[in-house]
Amino acid sequence: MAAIEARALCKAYRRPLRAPGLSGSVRHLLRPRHQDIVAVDHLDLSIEAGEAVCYVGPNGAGKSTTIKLLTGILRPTAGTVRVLGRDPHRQRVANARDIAATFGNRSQLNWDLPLGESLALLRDIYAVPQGRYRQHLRTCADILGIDAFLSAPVRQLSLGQRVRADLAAALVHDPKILYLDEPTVGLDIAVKERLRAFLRQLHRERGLTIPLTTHDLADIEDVCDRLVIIDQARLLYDGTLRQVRDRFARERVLRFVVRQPDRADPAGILAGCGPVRAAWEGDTLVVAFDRLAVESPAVTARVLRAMDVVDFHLADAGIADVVRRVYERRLDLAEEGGQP
Amino acid sequence: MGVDADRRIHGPRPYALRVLWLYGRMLGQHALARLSYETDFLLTIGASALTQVLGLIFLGVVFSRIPSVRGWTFWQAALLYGLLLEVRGLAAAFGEGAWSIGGAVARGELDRLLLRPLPVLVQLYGGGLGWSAIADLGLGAAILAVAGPHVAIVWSFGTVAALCVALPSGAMVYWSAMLAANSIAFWTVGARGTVAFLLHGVSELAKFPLPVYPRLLAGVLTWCLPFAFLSFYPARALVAGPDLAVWLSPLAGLGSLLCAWLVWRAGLARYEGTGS
Ligand SMILES: Nc1ncnc2c1ncn2[C@@H]1O[C@H](COP(=O)(O)OP(=O)(O)O)[C@@H](O)[C@H]1O
Ligand SMILES: [Mg+2]
Repeated sequence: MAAIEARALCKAYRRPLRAPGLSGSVRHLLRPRHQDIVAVDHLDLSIEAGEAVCYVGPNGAGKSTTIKLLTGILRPTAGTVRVLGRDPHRQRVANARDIAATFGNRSQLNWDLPLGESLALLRDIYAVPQGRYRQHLRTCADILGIDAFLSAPVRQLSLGQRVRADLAAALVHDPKILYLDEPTVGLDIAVKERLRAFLRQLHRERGLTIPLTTHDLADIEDVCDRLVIIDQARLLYDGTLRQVRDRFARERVLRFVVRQPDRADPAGILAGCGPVRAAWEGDTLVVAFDRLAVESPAVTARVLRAMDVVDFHLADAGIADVVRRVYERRLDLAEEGGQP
Repeated sequence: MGVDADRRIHGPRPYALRVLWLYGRMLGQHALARLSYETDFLLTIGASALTQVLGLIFLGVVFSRIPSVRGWTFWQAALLYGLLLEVRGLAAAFGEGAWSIGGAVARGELDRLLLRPLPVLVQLYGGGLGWSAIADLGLGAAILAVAGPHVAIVWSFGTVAALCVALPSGAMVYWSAMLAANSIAFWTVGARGTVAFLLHGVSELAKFPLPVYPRLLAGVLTWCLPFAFLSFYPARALVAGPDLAVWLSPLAGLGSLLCAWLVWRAGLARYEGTGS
């Protein structure tokens, strides 16, 4: 059985419908009306132990809600969740021993206490043996550099320090699953790199299962092997990074800078290469095609033979393009074709 | 550091004991953090002491005009007043967590507590002590010490036993009232603490002997919002010997606790956090 299993998982928030002003409030008091906001709509998701899955989608797509359902913070409106064989909401305490979660925009630590004290309390809450705790502190000091601010109250930490502190706190009890909701939001490049390196290590060496949400494309390519795209509460796509590239990111663009271009229709030269689109941009010939359907060397050879090429550039659509198209609601799953 | 030190796990192992130990440990950490904001701390206690002194002056004024109210002498009333401060102070000292429910719901901070393998209430109440209760407890003790010798207390085994059940029960009533009232934040996020403040105000009625109030109100204070069990019934047991009401006070205490727990559970089930 998979580590995380969601079947037809739904979550609708109830939001009070209240006209503005005093009369609206009074009317609401007498006759409360609510509007259901569907944040997660019949989600089917299965994550195996040891997978690092990236969850992307525009703001309000339902990513955080999904994480809260999987961690047991929220109760599903309908559908089922099983995490390590348990219902995370009904068996909240048992589930909590095996998982950890961080929310990028909100600390899990007590603001008034020094970080070291918070960590020691967590050690006692999870009954972590002293030796393993010390080992954990050493690892966190080495990779996250938390030793520099162990004695500072959490309220005094910078965002970068706080995020590292949160991660150190989340891992005190050596969880099997680590949920991360926008772990790199607002961080500078150096801290992001450090965090990603740590996550990679946790994933590859300790086999930690990591579901994470992000808007940062580098998080996806650096840490994850699988991408789940959601929009407006629904699952749009679920597959490995390689599958995503092969299915949605197949366009390749070749640009040839030509000396004394004649700007003649390039269709003649490129005949026989397969379906390509070619056009002139000033002195540059731009050829775009599906990299799985058309062989780049064939295109290049023909252009080089026919023209005096002085420079040459190749660009592939990446995960970034795919995700950008999702965010702009321009990704048409039907049109892209191919099997997932 | 040997292997034994490495395998060492702090605290007791059995779950119930461990939860209790962790509760104490959280309170200890909180106390240390709080004490480091010294002026803040002294201000809280000072302000609370001042409120109580004002209340006492009021009591003195009333009784200087009328030496006895409905059969209660000034010193008997003072004894009751002192008892209220002790019982309510104790409940408030360990009931501070209830006041953080409103903010935690509004800001979605229960998320954090729901991620830990400990009952949410233990974490909430472990999050702080009611420091202002120190002033109440001190003042209450002083009043009891002064008023005690002036009152002919019926000391017997029965009286002592009655106090042993009545005082904790009274504290339970107040503690539960604050939990239930603050849990209303799950339904009305905006009005956080309002109902609890109101109920606390109602508990002020227990500073005076029940017979001074109209029958209906006295009934409410016994059967609906049983604040009479905080001070009146224990004080009457001291003055006139234990009676049925004082023996039934555990019913009031446990009943309140049950109601509060049901309200809390129903509220928590509605918790949806905040958007992010
Ligand atoms: N506590 C809440 N109460 C009401 N609506 C909420 C709450 N949390 C989130 N929502 C709504 O649910 C939808 C999904 O939110 P969320 O899961 O936070 O999206 P994401 O994390 O993908 O940005 C949004 O429309 C948001 O406004
Ligand atoms: Mg979010």
